[in-house]
Amino acid sequence: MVEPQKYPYKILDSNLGMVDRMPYLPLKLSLNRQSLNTEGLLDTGASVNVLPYEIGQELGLVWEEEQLSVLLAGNLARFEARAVIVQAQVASFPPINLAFAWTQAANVPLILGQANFFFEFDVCFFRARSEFEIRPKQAEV
Amino acid sequence: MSLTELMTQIQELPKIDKLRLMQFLATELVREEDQNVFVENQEYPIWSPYNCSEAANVLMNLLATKQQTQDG
Repeated sequence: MVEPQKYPYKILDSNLGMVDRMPYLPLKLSLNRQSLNTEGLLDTGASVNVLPYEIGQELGLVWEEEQLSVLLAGNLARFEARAVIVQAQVASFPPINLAFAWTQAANVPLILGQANFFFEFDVCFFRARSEFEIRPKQAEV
Repeated sequence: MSLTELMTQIQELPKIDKLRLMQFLATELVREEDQNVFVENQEYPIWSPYNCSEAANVLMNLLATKQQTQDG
């Protein structure tokens, strides 16, 4: 059995005098020869993973070359998005392919949603102590 | 008035007033909590692409195609 990796919640901007914490997961994204270290918001309410435009560009994606459109909802609905696949590595777990809706929206978080992040990883949230644990999905017995 | 002085006075209150005081404090705490969570006219964007099953299908099909290419 793979041991889960534990992370603290990230402390966000507290300029309003509030201390807010959210579950951001550090991960490494790779595409062809490009790779970068970033972090994604674990969002169990999101149907899909979302890749911010600028991170896609840093990975070498070219908007005009990605032809598969996807429609998003909420604040992202008014922006075009394209389906892309990027390799991702979390901690020292084996790398996996993540499918993202690559959005043209600026200044959005990288979102890790149900398809397909939560299909690949088991995540346990401990909000009261501001921690979460993650490990690759376990095979059904 | 210090809290110590206030508590001495509270001890002298009849039981019904102590209960009213408890209710008052509970309401105050909830009100302060609400103020901490939301600030008037502050924007709270919700980025979650909720209920996008069609988009999820597109992504999963793309993944399956990619997997076939890698396996083949």
